[in-house]
Amino acid sequence: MKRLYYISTSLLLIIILTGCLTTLFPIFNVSDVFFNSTLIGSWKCKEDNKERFIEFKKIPDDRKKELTEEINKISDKGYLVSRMDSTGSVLSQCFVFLARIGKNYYLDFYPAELPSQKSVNSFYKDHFIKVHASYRIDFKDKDHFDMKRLDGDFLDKLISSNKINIRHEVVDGNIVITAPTDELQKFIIQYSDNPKAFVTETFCERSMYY
Amino acid sequence: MRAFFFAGVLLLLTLSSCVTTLQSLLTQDNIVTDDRVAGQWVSNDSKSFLVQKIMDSKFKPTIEELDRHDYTKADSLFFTKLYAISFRENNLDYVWLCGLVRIKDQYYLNFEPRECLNDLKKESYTLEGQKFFTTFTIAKLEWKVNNGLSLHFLNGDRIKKIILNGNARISHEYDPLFDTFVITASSKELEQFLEKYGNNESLYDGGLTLNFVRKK
Repeated sequence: MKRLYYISTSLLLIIILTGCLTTLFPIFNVSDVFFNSTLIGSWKCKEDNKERFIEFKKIPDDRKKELTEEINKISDKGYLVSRMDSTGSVLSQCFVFLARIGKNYYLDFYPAELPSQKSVNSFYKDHFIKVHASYRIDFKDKDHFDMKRLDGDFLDKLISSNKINIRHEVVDGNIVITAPTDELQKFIIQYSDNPKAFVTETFCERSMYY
Repeated sequence: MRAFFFAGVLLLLTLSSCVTTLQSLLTQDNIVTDDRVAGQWVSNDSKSFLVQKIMDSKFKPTIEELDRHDYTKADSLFFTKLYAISFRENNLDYVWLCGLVRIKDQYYLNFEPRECLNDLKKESYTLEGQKFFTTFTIAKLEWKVNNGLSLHFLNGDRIKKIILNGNARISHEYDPLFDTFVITASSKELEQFLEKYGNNESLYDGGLTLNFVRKK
């Protein structure tokens, strides 16, 4: 049954109908994660000709309680990434883990709650399953990196044309990737050099040192 | 006679964890309506809820314009059978969509979150740069005398344990690293699950029961 997407443009269109690959499982295993201090700091990023400001910092101790016991074992290697507007106001935050998969590096973004989100009714929140958004990261130098997103449309086409067998669910005509981490990594490695699989989306340059 | 109720949803939560479904229980074949549903209702903690047929709600224009998008007439007809539930809590305005299903003489309500707007009419939970999947919840409906209604929600912790122990077979996904659990069964499988276990009281024990009365 189709969902009523058009009933509220503020909500569902943002959640599902975006071109980015989103997965129920993370793209990394615990052993894949490591910390790179180069990322710490503020960055000015260009996305689709729009300027965005993001900040990477280590996950503060008081935010680690939002994570499970298992993921907390590696939380010292993770980042709390804030997305900000040009005035410095935080728009949203994610827990981010840097992982090496195959020969490339990837960032896995997982929603973290802002104080304003904490006041939302918990039953309402329980109906939004937090999922992982993944980007390949290419470090240019200590002050520049690019992020290439795994293109959801590319994967959708592979699945629709039976060119790939990856676990997924079809919800209202949209493909939801439910493949476990190992299966995701096989896909990532297989298509890591395919320019159609990874779309350059964001160019970041350091805007301030810490 | 308009005696029905639901909503109170907000209380739920902290009492027992919630198990949600990726697919809706509702289909064009099983959705039903009941005139008793719509109205103003009060929960057992005195909170007020407005339940409207969707065509009596602010969403009516949207439903009427669906044919401009990729929806069939059957889709449109399906959506007209939904209800919109509105309530306000902590300066946030919530709207849920809800549909009614009857399985073996038992009514179930399928809940879907729709909006959580602040006073600036901006969505307050799903923010730019974060990714979520929206999911559904199912509650068993018990009609009460004197314009009352109870909603019985499955005990999420128990359901999760039963499924992960392999004692109930229903499609699901579980990531222990981030403790993500969601039932991925199809609408048909959900219906079959409720046919088989819907009246098993032990699945509701420890889960939340909400009581509502129609506002005079």
